[in-house]
Amino acid sequence: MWWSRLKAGKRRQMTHNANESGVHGDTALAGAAVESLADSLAGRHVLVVEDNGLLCGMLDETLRGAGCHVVGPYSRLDQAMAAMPAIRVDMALLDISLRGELVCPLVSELTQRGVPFLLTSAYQSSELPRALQSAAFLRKPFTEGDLLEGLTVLMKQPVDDGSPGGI
Amino acid sequence: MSADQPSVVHSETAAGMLIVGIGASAGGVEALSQLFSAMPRDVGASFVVVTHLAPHRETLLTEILARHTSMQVRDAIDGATLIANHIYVLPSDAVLTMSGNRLQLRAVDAEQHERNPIDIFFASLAAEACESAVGVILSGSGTDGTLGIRGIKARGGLTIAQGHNHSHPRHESMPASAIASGLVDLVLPVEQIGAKLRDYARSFAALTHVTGGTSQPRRQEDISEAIRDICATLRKRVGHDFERYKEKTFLRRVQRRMQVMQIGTLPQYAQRLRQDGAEAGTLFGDLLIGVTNFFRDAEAFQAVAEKVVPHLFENRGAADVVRVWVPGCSTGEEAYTIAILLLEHMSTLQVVPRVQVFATDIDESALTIARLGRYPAPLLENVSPQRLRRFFHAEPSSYVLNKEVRDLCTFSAHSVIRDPPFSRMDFVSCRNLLIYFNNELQDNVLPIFHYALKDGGFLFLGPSESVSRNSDLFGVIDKKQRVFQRRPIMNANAMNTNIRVPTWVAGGRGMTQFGTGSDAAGVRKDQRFRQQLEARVLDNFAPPHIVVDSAGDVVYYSARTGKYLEPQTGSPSRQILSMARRGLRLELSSALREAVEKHQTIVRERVEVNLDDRIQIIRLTIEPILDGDREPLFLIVFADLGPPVTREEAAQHVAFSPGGDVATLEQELRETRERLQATVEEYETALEELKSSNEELVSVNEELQSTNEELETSREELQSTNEELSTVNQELASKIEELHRSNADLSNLFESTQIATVFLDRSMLIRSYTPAVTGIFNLIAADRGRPITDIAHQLEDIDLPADIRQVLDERRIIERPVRLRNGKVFHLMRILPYRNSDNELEGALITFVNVTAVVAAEEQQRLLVAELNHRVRNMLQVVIGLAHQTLHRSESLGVFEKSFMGRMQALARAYELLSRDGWRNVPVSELLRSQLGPFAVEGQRYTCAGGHIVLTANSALALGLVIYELATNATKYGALSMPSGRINVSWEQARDEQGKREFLLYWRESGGPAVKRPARQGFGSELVQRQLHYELNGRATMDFMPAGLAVTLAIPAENVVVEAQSGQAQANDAQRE
Repeated sequence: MWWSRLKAGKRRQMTHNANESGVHGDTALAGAAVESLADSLAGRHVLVVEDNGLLCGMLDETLRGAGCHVVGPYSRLDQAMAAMPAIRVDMALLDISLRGELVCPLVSELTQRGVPFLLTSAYQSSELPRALQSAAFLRKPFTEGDLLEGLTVLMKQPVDDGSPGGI
Repeated sequence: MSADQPSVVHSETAAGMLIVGIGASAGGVEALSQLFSAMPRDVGASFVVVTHLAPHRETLLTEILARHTSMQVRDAIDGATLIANHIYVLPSDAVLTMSGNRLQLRAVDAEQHERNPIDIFFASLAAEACESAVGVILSGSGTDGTLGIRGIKARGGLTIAQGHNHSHPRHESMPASAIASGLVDLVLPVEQIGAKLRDYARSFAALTHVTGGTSQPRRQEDISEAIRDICATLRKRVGHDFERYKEKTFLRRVQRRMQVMQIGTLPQYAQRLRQDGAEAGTLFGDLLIGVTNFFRDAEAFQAVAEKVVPHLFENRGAADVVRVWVPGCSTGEEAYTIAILLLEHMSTLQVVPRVQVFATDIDESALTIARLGRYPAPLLENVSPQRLRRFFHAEPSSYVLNKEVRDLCTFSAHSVIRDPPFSRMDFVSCRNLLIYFNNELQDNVLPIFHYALKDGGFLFLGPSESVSRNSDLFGVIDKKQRVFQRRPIMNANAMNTNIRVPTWVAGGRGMTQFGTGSDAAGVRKDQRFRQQLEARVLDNFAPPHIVVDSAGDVVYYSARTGKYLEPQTGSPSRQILSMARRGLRLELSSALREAVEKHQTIVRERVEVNLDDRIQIIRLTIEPILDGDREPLFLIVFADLGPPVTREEAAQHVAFSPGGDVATLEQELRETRERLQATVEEYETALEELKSSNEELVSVNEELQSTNEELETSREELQSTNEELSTVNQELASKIEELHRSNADLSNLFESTQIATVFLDRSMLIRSYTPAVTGIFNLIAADRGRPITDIAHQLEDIDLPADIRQVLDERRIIERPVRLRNGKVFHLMRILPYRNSDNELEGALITFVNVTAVVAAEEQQRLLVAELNHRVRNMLQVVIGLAHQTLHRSESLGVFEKSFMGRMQALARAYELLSRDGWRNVPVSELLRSQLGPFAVEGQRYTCAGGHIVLTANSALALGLVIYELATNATKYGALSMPSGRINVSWEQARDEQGKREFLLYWRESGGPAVKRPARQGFGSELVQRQLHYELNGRATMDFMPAGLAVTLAIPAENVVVEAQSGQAQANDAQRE
């Protein structure tokens, strides 16, 4: 339709982070076995924030299977925020929206602490709030393999202070 | 079909054989089939069928006709000789004509496709076969054949048209056109045409024998006798004398009537004519057939236009009149043609004289047609399109002459032969009338034309007519085109003896002339000598005499009448009584009166005429000259009785004769007489004055009358003008009304339309705009006429003047989306060239269509799609999660399938419940029934009890799975594993320890197998716990009581319960992940 032209410019501006699905940089680790990835994650304390009960089970089992210490899972932002000061966190797996609440406060907390985090959502990264768009992102639905791969990449990423860049 | 093929039945020569041309068009096949089916075998004629055929189309007509007749049916071939009882059919892409007794076929291609093949064939058939031609017009559309029929009729052939009966012609217009021309002899239903043709052929053959073998004188005499008989009957019935018509022409016409009537002999026909008045009329009509046409013979009329018409207008002022006479005008074509020629020349003149065209004919019905001035289109084919446009008014199938032409022509009934001619004509056009007259009649008519024409006037005759027998009267201008000019009478001496003024004797037969006749030249010379002699005797030896009319006006004086007459003072007079000398007047007056009254010769002896001082005694004789019905004249002869005498002698003479004693009385009487005479003279003077006054009055009256007539005419004209004006006015008023309405419609449209529109002229000045524009341009009413570039607008990023210029230059539409500066309102702007009704560019039109709602709807749609996408992905994630966990806990694929599919179905059921009402919130009871339904029957195995509590969509989904897990567990290990087992589910809202509202659901199993706590937590209960914990932020308490499992679910009400089933709650719900 003609008015799509109206929007076109705007949209193009918005989608500079063009990878629409999947995990950033999944091509870099193509062919690597899930097990070997899991090994490298062993012993890590991973904060899991997710409000879907069924998914929590899966995340819990998967991460435990990979030898991680699962912190959480938390299904509510206030619970997670409340827990933060007292826990050790090496990396975090965050659902962006928890019953309508954005995880932004948690993100800034983690950024401050220099903890790498992987955001998950069924939305496209381009649809996310601007502040979160450059973060590492895993789009739902993902499999066990996708999850471990994402976390592994995240782990190998040098941690900037303040601004975690996408790959 | 070659000529040498022996004819089966008849072997007549072409002269004796009828050739029947049959014309048909649309619907003709049916008519032709009927015609030939009903055709007797022994007609003995040759038939030629001409139909309208599409180009390049093979016709099957030959085969079709062959099925309906025993005669030979063939395609017409060029050069074929016509044979009796054969039917020839016109093939396609050809034109058929006749040459002698042979057919001529000319191939034509599609471009030259002939539209009137019937006319063409009939015309040549008429020319070649004359009386033997028969033209039959059958069903067809159009007017083809009418002109052909005219030709056949004019040549003496028979014409037949298909008429109505129980079988109508399928298409009537072709026969109807022929019938309307008045030239069709017989109108017959198609089935009867054959029989009629046979009868006609028989009588035709019989007549051919009669008239063909005219060598025997007796026969010839018989015929002449019969013709005289017929002429006499005609004279009696219709008052027209045909005796001097060309015998052959006359006979031909009579013959045809005989054939039509099927009367074998002339005497029989004469007999019939005497008895049948209608037949006399028909024959009369046939005899008068004039084949005239507009611009018939174009070259001749061209000659008239060049050689005659300009001379007619030479040296003529506006007050002069150009007079033209068209005798024998028939239905007016010739007269109108000449009028058109005159008008064409008049349009080139600066000073236009008045023009009168007198068109006369004895046929009153023809004149009626002429006065109408309406002609079928086929008769106008010689008229050029320019003339048709200028002088005619086109109607669907005919043309009507303009008033301009009709006003010029005056049609009146008049016989050239019988009635006095017109006079002082400039031009006489008489085409194809003289051919119907014999030599004697022609010799009479040409002098009439000579008389009618002015000196140097023109005569225009038909191609086969000439003035050669009267070449002394007319000089030749154009011999070929028969244009002649009147010669003046050259020999002055001859005037007396060679007066060319014809006189007409009323009731007489024809015309006699003084001094001319059919006598031989010698006889003429003797007569002339005798006349001279008699004139001399009259002059010298006869007594003086005069001729007067009954009123006493002198019409002729002899020599030496001065002795008796004396001119009076005052204006000259021819009145004899005023001129008579004293003494004569009284006697003359009484004698004349007596003569007028008694029509007898009156003689008065011894009348005394006073000659100055003497008296002449005379004998006065008055003799009436009675000449038929004309006004009688009176010859007055003065015969002197001795020489003049003195008064005394006269008195003496009187006194002597009777005796002296009466002298005194005589004297007295004379004096008295003189007094009486004086009185009478006075009386007569007074009478004369009265007469002249009367005449004046009469003339004044006449003038008044004519003025009155003129006024009447003017009034009528004014009235008609007035009517026209009021009609025009009415039309105008209705148009204005319409205009008002359209204007009101438009302004209402402008007011109501939401489409902002600005009208600009070519210089981008604002001409008009709709109110909706004010949201975009800051326009006020006073801005009309200002350039659009001066007006501030609310549009973002646009070069409006450049766009408008582009539209004006390139004349194409520009269309672009625009946004108002506030960023919220979107418009679709279109700039179009504005064209007036002549399709000329007059400016531009800018329209703005508000598309904000469309843009918003599009955005909304995009959001919805994104949301849907999101939900689907979330759900898939759940499925993956479930699959993952179920897989890890399954011993075998069979177990996995069972438990995974069960959970999928539980999810599906929960979704179905949600989606059934468009992702709305769900009552607890419904959720329970939906999930428990597959496992048990409500009321028998489980019961539900609780208030009407409505769950949010997401919590319903989570809770649905929990209930499924509980039900699965009950089926495997609990109450539903035994028939006696029961489950009671109930729910409520309550306050917890902190006083927060909680939703509580109680699952109580009973009647099942004995329950004991399982060794380890199964995935089912793990799932229940997790759902409760993570999804609903609640908790599940499971008591493995021996009587049955008791589960209590406690969830903060804020997480699950919708407080009010409102739109707001739903919207909140949708926003949640």
